[in-house]
Formats: sequence, structure tokens, C-alpha cells
Amino acid sequence: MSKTLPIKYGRRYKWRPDSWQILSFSIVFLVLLPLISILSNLFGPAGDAWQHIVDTNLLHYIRTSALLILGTTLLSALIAVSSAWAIAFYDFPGRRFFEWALILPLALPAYISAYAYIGILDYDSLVQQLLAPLLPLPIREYFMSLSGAIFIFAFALYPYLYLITRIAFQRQSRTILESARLLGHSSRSIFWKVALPLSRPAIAAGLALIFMETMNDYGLVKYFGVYTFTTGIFEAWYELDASAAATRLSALLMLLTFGMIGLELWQRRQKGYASSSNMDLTLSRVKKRGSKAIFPLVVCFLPFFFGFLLPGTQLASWSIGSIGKLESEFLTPFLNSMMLASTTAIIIVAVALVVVYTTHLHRSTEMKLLSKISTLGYSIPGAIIAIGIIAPFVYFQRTVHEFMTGVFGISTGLFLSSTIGFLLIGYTIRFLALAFNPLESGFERNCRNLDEAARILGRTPLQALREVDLPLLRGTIFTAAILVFVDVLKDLPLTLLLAPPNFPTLATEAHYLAENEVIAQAGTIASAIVLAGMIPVYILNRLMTGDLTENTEQ
Amino acid sequence: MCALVIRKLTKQYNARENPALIDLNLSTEPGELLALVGASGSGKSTLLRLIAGLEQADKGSITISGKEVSGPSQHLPPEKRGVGMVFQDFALFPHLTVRQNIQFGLSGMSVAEQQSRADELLEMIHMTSFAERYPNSLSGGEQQRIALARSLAPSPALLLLDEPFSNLDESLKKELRRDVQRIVARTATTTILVTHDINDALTIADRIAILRNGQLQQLDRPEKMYQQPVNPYVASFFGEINLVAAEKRPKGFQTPYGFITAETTNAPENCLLGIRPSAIKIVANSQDKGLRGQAGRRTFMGDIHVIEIQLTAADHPSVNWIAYVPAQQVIETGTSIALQPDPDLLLIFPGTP
Repeated sequence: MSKTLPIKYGRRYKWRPDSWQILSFSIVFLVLLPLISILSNLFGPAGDAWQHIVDTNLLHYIRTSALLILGTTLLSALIAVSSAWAIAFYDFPGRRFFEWALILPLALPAYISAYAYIGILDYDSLVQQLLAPLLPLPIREYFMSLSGAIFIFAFALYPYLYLITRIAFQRQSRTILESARLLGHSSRSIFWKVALPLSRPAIAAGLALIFMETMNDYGLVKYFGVYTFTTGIFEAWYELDASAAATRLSALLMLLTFGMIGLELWQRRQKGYASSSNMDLTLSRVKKRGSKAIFPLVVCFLPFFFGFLLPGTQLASWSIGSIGKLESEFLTPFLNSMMLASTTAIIIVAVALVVVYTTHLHRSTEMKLLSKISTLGYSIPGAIIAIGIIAPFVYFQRTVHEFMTGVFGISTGLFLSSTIGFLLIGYTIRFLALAFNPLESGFERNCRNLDEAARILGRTPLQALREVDLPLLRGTIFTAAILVFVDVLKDLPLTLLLAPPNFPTLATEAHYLAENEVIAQAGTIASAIVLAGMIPVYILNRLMTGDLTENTEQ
Repeated sequence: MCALVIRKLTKQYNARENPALIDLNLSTEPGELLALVGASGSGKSTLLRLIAGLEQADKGSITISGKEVSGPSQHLPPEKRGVGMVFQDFALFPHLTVRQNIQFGLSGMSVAEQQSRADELLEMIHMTSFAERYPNSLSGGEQQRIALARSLAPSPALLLLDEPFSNLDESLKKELRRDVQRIVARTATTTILVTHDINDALTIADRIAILRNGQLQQLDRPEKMYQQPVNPYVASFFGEINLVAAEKRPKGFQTPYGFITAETTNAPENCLLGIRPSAIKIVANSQDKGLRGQAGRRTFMGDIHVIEIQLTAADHPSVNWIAYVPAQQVIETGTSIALQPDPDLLLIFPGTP
């Protein structure tokens, strides 16, 4: 080292965040705040209501949740892996149709599917009339149970796993599978010994997604009277009016979710299976015709039938039956939903753009990790996020109320009710990942170093974003907005807990109608949600199969 | 004034990994084309990104045209540095025409000035007729020239070229190296070229800097570097090299495999000799003190034969050398041969292997 240089050059620079980083840090902090508020509850006293829950229902919640998760993951794994195998490796009549039709149940949230099934099995239904002589109780009573819930969850959620597994199968190196065949293995043996073990990380990722969606649901479990953690949280919140107990339950469920995420990350780190990057090199499919096509056909038709066709037909028949009879009551929830969904979509796309662009500007590991944390909300059940946002406010108001009555004898009550602002924050935390992921890959794919080139040619980061990235990402931004829009439309638990009083949305309206046994009307409203939900299913299919290419101006 | 002065520059991406650059010092001469050569992971691309301001250094300073752009007191963002850069994949904006691309960096000028500057550059790269085309419809070589024109349009004080030829096929490479040299020379812009291919550097660079593991090995004119590399690593960049430990003697060097005759005065007592395959003459017989070996596999390469030679010694492991001999000289595999290295072309490095 030369000694003539001033000493200051040997010193490490100070780290100075720019405005993008500061903005991104604030966003990540905001996202984490409710989660931190909930976890911090673990360390304080939880009160009598919590003791009451521990004494009475807690074991029941745990047992039911465990059985529900176990049943749902097993059944959906059976459905998804077998249909993915058939689509990826066999050629049979109708294959191209089923390839994407198998994703359609994603448009039907589990709670809506439940309304449709109860419509099909109701007291006055055809099924009930046929089965009445055989069963001592109405069929509906049997179905509205844990097993019925597992059935509906499995057929509503399997597409997540199906999509991931199918793509894992299709991207498997053709040469590996061909060498297995040349080494004398039958296609069944290849499935068990090669294809399935190689796809294990993907299958585990899909199952983790199903776990999170099952834990997020409130509409179905409430309707069926199945007592899971989420129903427990709602019950503690409304019926016991115990925010501390609800928070404690949320904290427990959150720990469980984090455990699941950790497990999933751990299993993924275990083995890095390289997949062939060349998509043309997929194995040629085995032709199945005539009687040999029966197995793949059945394996693909059943999930489509129970997951979409049957409940969808019921919804459609309700909607057609109510054409012209739609009352103006329908208009308010419709407008509310549209307003919420579009506002959220705009907020989330803007927020995600800031975070993704910041990581794009500063390609450091720390920034990447931080941005990943901002998408954590998607794995956290909506009820937890809602409690995390609202519990601190309720606590604050209660303290004020107790102080005011104690000192001045004035009852303030709960003077702040939930506002649309809370709801929008809740949506943003929960659905940020939906916009984040497509935008992140959009930047990676379309912008690589184009904004760097713009910077060197004299543009500030903001100018580079506006002049180069945004024009190139128009399609991706639209996709991201649609994905958020529809998920907000479908959301029930967050909306139920955070929507201001007298602010019905399509989802909450359908929920109340179903709870009050006005099932046909609930179904009609639900159809609107399902119709809207089919758009992102189409987008998702294109995104996942990777042929959604950006259309740049030519 | 030097376009670029770098002092004690250090960059570490990750605390668990070795630094990408360690205490690097470097400065350019006005108007020169300096090639940064190194294997992947040597830190050459990091250096380029630090100069451009796309990454922030940890320690040290970078001065462009007398102004400190990176240092303990400040980090100037790339848009304020006045450098031009051509990316490895050219990074042309796909939503803009060729003309719009070239004008992108000229936003300070009036529209008329922008257009005449773009015309001037299109003329210089012989692509006037392509002005209204979109980059996706152009070949790799054409995109390369547009990218060069775009980066030169604002008349940068310093031009950075990041592996500009690596995405092009071999025949195109030769043509474009000449083009780049011509265009850069015409604008007299001080230029830094990053490449892993020594041929890029030898063809067009005024000086070459060789980087290894984040450290500068040598910075010299190409001929000097070929003739007097500071270490075997630098020497190996110019082709294969045979290495052997030696002790200095009055009339040459004693190696475990025989004596090498050479009149050298300023060699250290213990040294490492580097002998290029083309600097070895093979003869059937010679004095019995000299280097001897056994001819091994012979590969015909057109003008020359590449011969593997096994050198053996009593108390040392045997080594395999390579020599180039004229195609007409036939040496049968298995025969015992004598090796006469050209004393003028001996490379002498201090130390032992």
C-alpha cells in the first residue's frame, strides 16, 4: 500500500440511502407493521377471554384445522398430480381442452363453490328427493361438515398444485426421462422413480400455497360450521368482543404459517434440480386412444367437473333465473366492489413499482431480501392482517374510553369506526405479491440494463422509469392490475373485518345472503365474481406457460 | 488532463465473498484506448460499472476529467458523470427508432441540433438509411454500431465498452474491431474496453491492463506486455507457456531437467523460467548438459506441429511441455530429443512456482 495517499481513501464509505430506498423501506415497514403488532401480542398477557378459549375451544380449533389441512392437501395432491401427469405425458382426445380447463376452478372461490353445492344438495333439490328414502337426515346435513369442506377445498384449490406440477413435469429434462426409458423402465416406473422425485420441490411449493389458501378462508368454514383458527379469530373478535384473544389466536396461526413458509424454503434449498431451459425438448407424449384413453380422460374430467362445471352450472342457472328480477340492492355492492378493486389495483401497482424499481436500481442482496419481505402478506391469512391493523386502534379507543369514563364520567365508546383507508391498507399488504411478482420478472425480462443505459445517457432514475421502463412494461402493469383487481373482488375475510359498517361489497353481500339462507340470490351475486375471476385465470395460464410476450411497438 | 484516475478502489459485494476489486490504481492517457483484460470474476466488469456509477464503491476514489465522481465524500449518479457506455447486449431501447436512440442522450440540445448531431453520427457509422428502423429489425453488428453511436453522441469525456464483441460471430468480430477503432480514433475519446479475449485487446488497444481476482497485474503497451510479462499469469494470456524452476549460473540457468544456456545479467538467484512453445528449437543431438525430453503426442495444425514433450529428472516429478515445430520437421513419437530454448525469448520471473 502506498503511504503517500491521504488516509481518507482507505476509509470505508458511509452508506447513504437515496429517496427510492427510503420510500421502499417505508413501504416494507408499513407492510410489516400489522404483523409485528400481532406477534408482539405473544409476549403480553392475553386476558380472561383468551383463558376461556384455551379452556374450551383451542384444542378443537387445532384439531379441526389440522384435519382440514391434512384432508385438503392429500385430496388435492391426488387430484393435481394425477391430472398433471396425464396432461404432461399422455396424448389423448381433449387433452388441449383439459390443459387449461383444469385451471378454471381458480375462478371459483371455495366459499362460492360451497353455496353452489348447497344449492345442488338443498332440501328441495333433485338429489335430495332421490336420496331421501336412503338417508335418515337430509343430504345437506351430511355435506355441511368437515368432509364436505375438504371436498370443496380440494376441488377449488387443486389448480395451484396442478399448474406448478404440470410445468415441473413439462420442463423436466427430456434426456433424463429418455435415458430412464432406455434403461428399461415403464412409464409407470418412470413416474414413481424419476418424474415424481424430481418434481418434489414444485409439489411442496404448490401444497404450501394450498395450505395458505385453506387457512385464509372464512366464508366456507363459517357456512359449514367447521371451527378452524380463522373461524375462531372471527368468533373471538365479534362474539366474545375480545380483541386481545383474537390477536393471540392470530399470532398462533401466524407462527404456524411462518413455520410452513420456513419448511417450504428449507425443502427447496435442499436440492437444486436443474431443469432444462429449452422448452422444445419436452418428451414426446405417449399416444392414448380408445379404451386406453379412459384413464387420462377420467383423471382430467373429474376435477374439472367437480371443481368448475357442476358448481358453475348451478350458479349460471341461478343467474339466468334471476334475469330481470335483479333489484337495485345489487347495484350498491357492485359499485362498492368496483371502487375498492380498482383503487386497490392502482395503489398496489404503484407501490410494487416503487419497490421493484428500487431493487432494480440497487442490485444488492439486502435490497432483494427486503423486497421479498414486502410480499410476505400474501402468505398470511386475511383475518390476521385485518386484526393486526384494527386491534391497535380498538385498544387505543378502549383506553381513551376507560380514561374518559373514569375521570370525567363521559362515555366515548368506539368513536373511530373502520374506514375504507384501513381496508385499502389491508388489501395492499395482502395482495402486494400479486403485482410484485409479474413486475419483478417483467423488469428482469424486458428492462435488464436499458434503464442503466438511460442513466448513462443523462436520465435521473425517475426519468429513466418514465421514458424507458414504463413504456416497455405496459402489458405487465396491466396484467398485475387485473390480478389484484380480481383478488380484491373475491376477498371475504379481510373485507368482512375491515369494511366500514353499511359498506356492502359483492363478496360480503353474497356471504350475508348465504348465511341467511337466501342461497339463490347469493349465487347470483357470486356469479358476477366468478365471471370476473375468469380473466386472471386466462392470464395466469399464459403467464405460467411463459408465452405472454411483451408487445413492444414495431 | 487525464480522463480517468482511479485510486485505491475497493469493492466487496458480499461480506462472505472475496472482494471484487482490491486497492486498484489506474489512470488513462489522453485519447488512448485502454483494454481491461481478465477472466470472468476478475473484477473487470465491476470496475467498469463503478466508473459508470452503476455500482457504488466501498473505498477509494474515481476521478473523471479532474472531478472526483466517487469518493468518501460523494457518489455522483451515472447521469451526472458524462461517460458513455456500450453494453454487452447493446441495450438499445426497443420502443424507439434508431434515430431516437441516438438522440436519447442529447436532451440538452435543441431539436435541430439533436437531429444534425444524429445525422453526423449515422454518417460516421455508415448507417444513415437505418434512421427510422427499430432496433429489433437490425443485425447484431448493426445494433453494435448504433449503440456505439448512441454513447458517443453526447461527446462523453470517457467511453466504456463492456465486452462489445462477445455477442458477435468470429467473422463479424474482425470487421467491428476495426470499425470501433476507427470511430473511437476519429472522435479522440479516451476509451476503456473490457474483454476476456486478448485478441480484442491486441487488435485495437493502445495499452492493456490485466486483472486477476480484483487486482491489477500489469498495465503496459501490448508488445511490452508480451515481451516482459510481470508474472506467469500475464504471460499465459498470450498463449501456452512452459514453466520451470531454475537457478542462476554464470552462463545460463540450471533446471532439474537440464541446463539452459543464456547470457543474462539481471536475473535473481532463484527464478521461474517461462518458455513459449514457439521459442523452443528441437534438435536431434546436442551437448549432454542441455534440456532433454521424450517426444509424445504430435498434433498437426497446418503451419506447425504441436508436440508434447515429457521431461524427466531423477529426483523431480516429470513434466509435460509443449513445443511448436515447423510442419516439415518430422519428429517421431517416442524418440529422445534435445530442446534449445531461444535465450532472447526467455521469460524470467522471480520466485519459485
